[in-house]
Amino acid sequence: MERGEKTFTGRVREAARGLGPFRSFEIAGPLGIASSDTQMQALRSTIRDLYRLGELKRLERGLYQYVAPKQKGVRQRLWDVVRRMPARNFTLDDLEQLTGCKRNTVKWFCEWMVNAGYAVRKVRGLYAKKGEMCPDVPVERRGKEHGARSMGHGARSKEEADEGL
Amino acid sequence: MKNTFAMTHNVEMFVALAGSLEKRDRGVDGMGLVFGEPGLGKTRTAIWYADKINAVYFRAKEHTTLRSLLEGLVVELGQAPMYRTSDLYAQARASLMEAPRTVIVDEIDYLAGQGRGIHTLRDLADEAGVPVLMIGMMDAERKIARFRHLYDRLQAHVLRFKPLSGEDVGRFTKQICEVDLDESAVAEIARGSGGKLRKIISEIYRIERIARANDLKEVTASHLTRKAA
Repeated sequence: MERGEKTFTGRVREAARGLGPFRSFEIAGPLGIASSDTQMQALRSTIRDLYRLGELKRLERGLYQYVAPKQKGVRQRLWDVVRRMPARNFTLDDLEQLTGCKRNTVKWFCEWMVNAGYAVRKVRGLYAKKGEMCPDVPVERRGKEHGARSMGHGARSKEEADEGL
Repeated sequence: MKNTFAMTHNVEMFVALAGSLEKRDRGVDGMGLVFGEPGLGKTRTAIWYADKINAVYFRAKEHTTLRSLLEGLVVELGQAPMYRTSDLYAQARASLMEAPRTVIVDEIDYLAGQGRGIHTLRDLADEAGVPVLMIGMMDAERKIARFRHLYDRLQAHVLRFKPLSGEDVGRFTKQICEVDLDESAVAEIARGSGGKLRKIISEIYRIERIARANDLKEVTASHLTRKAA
């Protein structure tokens, strides 16, 4: 692939941008893919990826529309900084300095991390990461229980997980 | 202590280097190296800068292999990593070509030994056309200089983080210390810390404690040495 040449995802994105609401077979035409083509599978996967990235909105099953990619939010920025810190411990001051966010925002974020089970509060203003952090900030859920569940595999207890509930 | 990210000479040079890599002319290599002794704020500056420009940040570890490097980059780029190393490379390249972002690789020393990791980063910089900024410890330059052809290309973009000079310590304390310091106190901090950021910060905490306890508006060297004695 030459430098500057569009990738497959780029071509899908460009086609989606100019289409309005579309289904996968409608975008296949502008991309030069026949519906019987094996590339249809790659096209569907790419549409799914763009949907996950928030660049596509699902209007109904199989019907998508392109929306501009969202800018990185404050929560994602703070999450990234915590994730990138080499040490396990981090302070409110660290986050304030490195992101330029206000004290209240940083406090709110750290409390959210504690409630969701991603960090523990050690002493005033000092927190510690609880484990490996994924690159994308997890979807917010309310309450300690939900946070804890999102850390596990959605099971409320070991018994429930064993029973497959 | 004030909660602002202080701009020291090192930080300014870092920003200038990263900026020159981003705005480089066609034909100029996009790789850079920042190195220096521990405790000078390299990693902190890199994390701050990565947040500022939304760069891809990867921290190499002792056990990082070529595959785990590429996997880490692909994950940072927001994609589900494939299995094979060649696929991972293609994924990273395609993603960076699609949305070019500066790639910052910290603790490059761990990759410098094996060579493959460094050369893969060079390939990414060449093929995707994105700046790659490597950050390492004191030996990083020496280790990379073994790869003559690579080092020749990044020689123009090498920055050494130096211990803070007396003037720099003055600037730094002015930006983050909540108490006024006279020249003698600044000189005392510079002497005691050896220009290391970590030591300067702990010294500032101590100074602020002394100032609060004694209700001082300005702290001089005599206050510091008296308390230390």
